Amino acid sequence: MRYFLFIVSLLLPMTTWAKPTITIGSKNFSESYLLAEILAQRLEQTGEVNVERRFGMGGTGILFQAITGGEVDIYPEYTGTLTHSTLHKPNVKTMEGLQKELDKLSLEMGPKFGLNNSYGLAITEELSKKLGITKISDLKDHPNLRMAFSYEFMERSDGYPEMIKRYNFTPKSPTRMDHSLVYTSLDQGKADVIEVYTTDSKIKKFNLVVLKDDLNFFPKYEGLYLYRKDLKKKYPQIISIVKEFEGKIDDDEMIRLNGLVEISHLTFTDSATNFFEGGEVKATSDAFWKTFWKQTRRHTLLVVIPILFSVCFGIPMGIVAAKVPFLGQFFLLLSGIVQTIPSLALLCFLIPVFGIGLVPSMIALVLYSLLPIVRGTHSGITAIDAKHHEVARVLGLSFFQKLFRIELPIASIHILSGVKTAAVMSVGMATLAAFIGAGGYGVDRDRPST
Amino acid sequence: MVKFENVTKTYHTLKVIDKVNLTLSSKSTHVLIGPSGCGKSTLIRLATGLVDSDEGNITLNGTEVSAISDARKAEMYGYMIQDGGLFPHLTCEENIRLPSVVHGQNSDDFKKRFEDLRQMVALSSSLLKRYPRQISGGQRQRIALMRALILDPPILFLDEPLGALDPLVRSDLQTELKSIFSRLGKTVILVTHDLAEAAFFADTVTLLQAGRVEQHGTVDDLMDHPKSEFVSNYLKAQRPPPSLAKLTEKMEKQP
Repeated sequence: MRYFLFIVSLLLPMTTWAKPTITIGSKNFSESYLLAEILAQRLEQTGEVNVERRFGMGGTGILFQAITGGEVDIYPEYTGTLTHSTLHKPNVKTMEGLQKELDKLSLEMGPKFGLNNSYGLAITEELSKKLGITKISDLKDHPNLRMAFSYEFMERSDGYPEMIKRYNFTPKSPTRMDHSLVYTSLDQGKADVIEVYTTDSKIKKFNLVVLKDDLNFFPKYEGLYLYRKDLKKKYPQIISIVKEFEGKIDDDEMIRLNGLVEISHLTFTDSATNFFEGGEVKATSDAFWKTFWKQTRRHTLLVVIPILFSVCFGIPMGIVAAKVPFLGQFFLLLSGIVQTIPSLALLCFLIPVFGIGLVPSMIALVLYSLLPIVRGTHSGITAIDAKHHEVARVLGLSFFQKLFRIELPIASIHILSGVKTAAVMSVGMATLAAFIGAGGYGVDRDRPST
Repeated sequence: MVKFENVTKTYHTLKVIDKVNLTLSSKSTHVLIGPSGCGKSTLIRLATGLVDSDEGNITLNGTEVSAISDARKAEMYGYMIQDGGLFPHLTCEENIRLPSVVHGQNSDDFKKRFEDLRQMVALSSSLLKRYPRQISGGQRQRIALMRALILDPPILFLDEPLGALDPLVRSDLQTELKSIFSRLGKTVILVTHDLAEAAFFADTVTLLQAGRVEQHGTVDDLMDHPKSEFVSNYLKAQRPPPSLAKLTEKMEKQP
């Protein structure tokens, strides 16, 4: 019996090991988190796979690089983003055409959710009823309506300038402001027509009506899951699972789910669960703390391990730098140059070599922590009074005795302040690690969907 | 015995020591004196091997300085500098123990030697637990002396050991050092710019000028038979003003 239990205990972890692991990615805004979490929960319900969540990655570019590189298996994407931003084929209009382009990269699209997160024009429900405006063409008859648009919308090729050409009307010159302010502007009665993202939860919050794009001017940003073709080999059922979502998440449902996160301040986990269970929204009270502790552990790991490494490399480098002036200049220059590389750029440089996730983030953090530690050690040792070197010499201390008994202890104030600086910098820098899927406090930022 | 033969040292183009020949006998106190920049400190640093000479020979009790490895220096001589040169991160006791640890001195020998020296410099045991910054300048010099003597070397080099102390402490420490020197029977070589201090300590005095030995002998020799105008000028310059001379006379008459 004992042997049996022993063998079972050995086999148990193997059962999870034998399950395929599916890595799900997401971008760093609520809607992308939600769609990724919904898929994650659905896959976990099957009990057939292990799910790894790489949420909150820094933008389409990094995530697309991750999926083509095989670091991420599947993530929620928009058709418009694929044609305009990643593939740069704005003329591809059909799903078949788009799939043909994706075939070259061994990627495949699941069916559309039924949501279209595009630009749209919105007015209050009250105004819509009063003036009978339901579609963009109707605005032609009301040239005196005040408009407020974001700077971006005013410039984009799929924005304002082309829109008025297509609809052939010349409204009063719109007010330009940051996108986040257009809602406020409308709410305070300073604008009548604003630009919105069509699945934004604020549409519901401010009780707006999105005008129908009756001339089909705005490109479609229809949501779907994008996955690697080899995922079908790893887990063939994935096809039927992504198919389940066909037409299941339309604009209204997406607005509702976004609202759970952005207005009701529920966690992504609870909001995604509500998609399956429906009804009254249940907040699992410990969900926040669970995520919080998980990210705290991750963040601590992201700071502590790199600091340990940079101490291990930095102090000896500082010692060598102090002892060999030529190498000293070289090391200080080198670590100085690394410091000047913008952190996001450094992370992106490291992706082709080390992939995404924990390892490249830690390497970047080690590189960034080096400078203060090398510099601290170097200046601590070179600042030691010449008379102490002489006394150490006549007292007969060997090179290492002098180093460990005299130089490092005297330099320790400088060295420790270098380590402290590195640690403080790393705590901040580590939030950026979320951009390449390493987790930590950088993950759950509550951003409006863009 | 410390012997300089034809020793020359040049920094860049400046000759700081110029063909110095000097023999300093064992178990007596020799003072190197002279104006600033005359090379007296350089001479001591050449003798310790901290600086290498360009030409000539220096021997400490028959051993050539260049042949003494750093590891053996502390057994050959003790070295003490102006502010003591104590390590700030070690307590006084740890400072004194350091050469002993490095040279693997037997711990019983160390304890005995430590206690002897402590009584000699008259410091309390509790004071030795403090860090150098927590004690006075005079106390720091006593600790530095203990450290220089812990391995019982035959020679003691002191580079302006009392230079940074106020007159009262300085005078006390002078008296104390003199009695310690005579009790220990070491070859002491002391650098100072103060003629009174030189006269107080010295068995022999060496007056240096521009890297050369101007005159070597007892203080009385220098006073009674100055070899050059520079020697008599130097001695005159350091004579106390008349009012102070009177004071000295008065004090010496008192029992």
